[in-house]
Amino acid sequence: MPNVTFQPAGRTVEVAPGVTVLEAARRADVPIRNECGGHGVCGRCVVEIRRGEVERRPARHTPPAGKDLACRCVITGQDVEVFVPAESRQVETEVTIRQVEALPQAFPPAGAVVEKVSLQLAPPSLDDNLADAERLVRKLQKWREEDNYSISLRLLRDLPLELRHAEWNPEVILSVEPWGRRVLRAGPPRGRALCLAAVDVGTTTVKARLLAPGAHRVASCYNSQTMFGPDVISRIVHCQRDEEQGYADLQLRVVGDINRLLGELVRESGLERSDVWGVVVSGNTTMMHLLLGMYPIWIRREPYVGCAYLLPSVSPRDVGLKINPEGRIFCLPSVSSYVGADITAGVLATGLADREKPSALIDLGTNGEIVVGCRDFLVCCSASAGPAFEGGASASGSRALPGAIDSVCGGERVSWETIGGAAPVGICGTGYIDLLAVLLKEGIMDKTGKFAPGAPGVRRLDDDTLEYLFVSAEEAGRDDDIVLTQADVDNLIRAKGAIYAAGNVLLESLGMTWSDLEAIMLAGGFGERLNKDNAVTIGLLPDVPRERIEFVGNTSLAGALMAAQDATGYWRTREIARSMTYFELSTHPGFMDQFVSACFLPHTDPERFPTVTGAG
Amino acid sequence: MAVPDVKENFSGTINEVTIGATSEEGGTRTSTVTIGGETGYPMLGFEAEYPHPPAFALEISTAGVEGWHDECRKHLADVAGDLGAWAAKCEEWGADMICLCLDAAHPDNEGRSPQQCADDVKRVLEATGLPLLVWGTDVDEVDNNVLPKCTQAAAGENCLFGTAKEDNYRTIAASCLADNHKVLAEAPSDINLSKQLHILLRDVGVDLADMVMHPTTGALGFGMVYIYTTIERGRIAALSGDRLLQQPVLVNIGKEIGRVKEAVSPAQADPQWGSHEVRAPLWESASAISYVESGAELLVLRNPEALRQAKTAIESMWP
Repeated sequence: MPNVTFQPAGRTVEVAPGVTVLEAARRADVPIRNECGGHGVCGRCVVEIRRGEVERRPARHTPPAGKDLACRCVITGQDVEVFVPAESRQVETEVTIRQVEALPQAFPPAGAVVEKVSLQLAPPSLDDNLADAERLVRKLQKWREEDNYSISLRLLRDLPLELRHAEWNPEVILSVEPWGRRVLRAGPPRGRALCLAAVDVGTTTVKARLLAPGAHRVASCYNSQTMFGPDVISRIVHCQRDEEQGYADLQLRVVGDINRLLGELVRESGLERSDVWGVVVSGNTTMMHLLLGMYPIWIRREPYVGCAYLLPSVSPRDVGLKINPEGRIFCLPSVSSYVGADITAGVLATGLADREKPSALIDLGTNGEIVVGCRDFLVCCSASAGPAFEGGASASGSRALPGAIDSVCGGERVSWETIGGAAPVGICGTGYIDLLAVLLKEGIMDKTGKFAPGAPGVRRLDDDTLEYLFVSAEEAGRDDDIVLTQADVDNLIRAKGAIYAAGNVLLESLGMTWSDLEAIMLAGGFGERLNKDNAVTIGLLPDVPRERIEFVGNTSLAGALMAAQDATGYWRTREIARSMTYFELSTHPGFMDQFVSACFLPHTDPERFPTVTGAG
Repeated sequence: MAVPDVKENFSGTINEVTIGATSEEGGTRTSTVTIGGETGYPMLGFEAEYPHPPAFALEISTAGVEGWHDECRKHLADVAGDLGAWAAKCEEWGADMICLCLDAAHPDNEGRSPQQCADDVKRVLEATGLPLLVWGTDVDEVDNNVLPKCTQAAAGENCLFGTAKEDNYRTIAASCLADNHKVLAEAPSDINLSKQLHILLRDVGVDLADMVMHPTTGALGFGMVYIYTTIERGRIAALSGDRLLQQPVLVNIGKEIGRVKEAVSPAQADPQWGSHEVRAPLWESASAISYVESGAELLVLRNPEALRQAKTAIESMWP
């Protein structure tokens, strides 16, 4: 079998012919950047084949001259030497830290999912000879109106010594459970803070926030499962491809990401991992399955059934999360295989289920979900939007991090602004929304999103392919041009079409229209600088009075945070999940029609967007 | 008891589109064709107006009859090498229009130059007084070179030029605008895609009233039902007031029949299917009649016998 050597790492791996250079790199443990799952779309996996011949597959993204895309090069019979340039190397996806407002309360607040209490127990005597454990429970029962406490065998074994070390004044840490409370620790005061964490496992981005005294940072990184595919379906396919290994790969990746984020956060706050006693996790159904190592393959097969939606709290040992090993992980509940915990968290965070009049929550993640409802009803559906609005799988896409272009203006010359004013490194979701709207208004592309040949900035790559040069390499904070390809535009249009069509189908099923909604809340991690007019111009959002459109940020993380701080919020997500009615769009007769008519800028029916098209 | 009035009234009307220009209108045609104008679903004479019967075009090709089946070729043996004579023959057979296909410009054929194609258009215009439909090669790059020359060569004649597609509409739209021709807008079997294309064409200046739509065509037994329902759906929307679907509909049947084994296979190869002489035109005319019932206004055929059958049938039932 041929050998593939990676430089400058100097690692060699033996692979069978037919394996791609990208896959060989994975096996050689030389991770190469890749955000599209090896489909030749993102153009991140640029390498140089220095020795030997490979078979080259066609790619949507053309690499620079003399370079190749690792995912498009297939090993034949020959030994190959591959040079991985610095910009293609990805030891670990970078962690970004963003300042947010500090939480007001002291930690942990009373009623959080994990609580700490200092107790004064009466020492045992001949008159009061209750066993140590029962003595502790008796005291706990008085502390909270709660009868049921559970102490694990592991804890029981140490309990007599711990209580006596504490001189009968133990510090007790407890977690909430559906049946009562679980004692996680009882012993002498640790003299350390007890903190919690909220985590949002997105298909494209993983975010975490620490709930600790003074903590005011959100850490995020790309979900490194992305190397196995950009969306949940391709991840599930990976599980099937290589059964045991496949889903172990995915689980290890996401657990690794969370561990890295939490590691950064505790370090920044001067804490230790063992200070984290509880983690509340939110994410879509597939992400929850993959995090817990539950086999997800039936999620993508009719009738689309997951392993579990209402999940029990679990031990970090069983998942591999590096927090206090006696701590607990609380997974928020999902509604269906395609409406996950991120949505129940979103409903909690936005208060949708408490509103008097119907409103909508649109979560613009890799899977776009829409919930319509109020305190009387909740209905939801899901539309596969793809990672385009999160900057994934696009030629110059970026998460919303410093240097990401998040705002674009038209005029004589198309101008832009970046997050933090840094030199541009890519385009994030709001940047894409603006860019589409601007190019449309300036006539640089038509209403199907096709570039106009000869328009300013539009250049021809070959006979059939045009692309828009947005920021040249000289101006950019990176080595190559920041561009918008035709494939990017098509993806964005499909994504926005899927979202709008899904919302329309849901509303029509309710006998409602967009204008019946009091508020349209847009959630997502794509940057905060959404230009509402531009989002309406491209038909992502309906043409309603702009004040009804609200940008609510990452509600998945916000909901996880709320649930962590207040266990009643955690219980509320379970009620929300149980009360939501799910509409399956894949079998809905009207969806495809709505989708095709929404894959146009702004829409095939101009009357739906009167302020954009001028139609009445 | 009085019979209740069940007539339906619609808010929309199909656009009337006239193709061809006589000498009074600045052209040289001896006749023009007007299609559209209906105010209701097809064939319901008791409740709607049908000012114009469907029009039939016969197809002639710059690449000759190579690849056409024997039952077509037998009528064309004397004229297939001469576009002018072919066109004149079609007029004699009763066609309302000529559909000139520029197949020879296709790179797989002789790759005829834009100027040669323009000369072909002129030759046909000289040989017949019928209005002209000019159909490109379906190769975008070739069409973009060839069609502007042809629209110029036919300036003043108010022809119908096609096809404009979502991926390639700018050049053909611009040259039709410059030379005052109608545009044939082709979108595959989906009313939304048709609407989108009409918006795109309108955005570059083509009036909605100057378009004829081609939802693509399927032969009887080979996808006709899909196109039939697409036309029906479009018609319902158009009559309900959707201006983006009020364009009259063209179907290109002759070419599709040429791909249908049941229609082209000679009797000695498939004796169980009976006489080829009966079968071939019947398949074509039956397809045409069905499409008229779905609402199509302009039908392109190849076989003169099919034309005779279809016209006879339509005349007997047209409201």
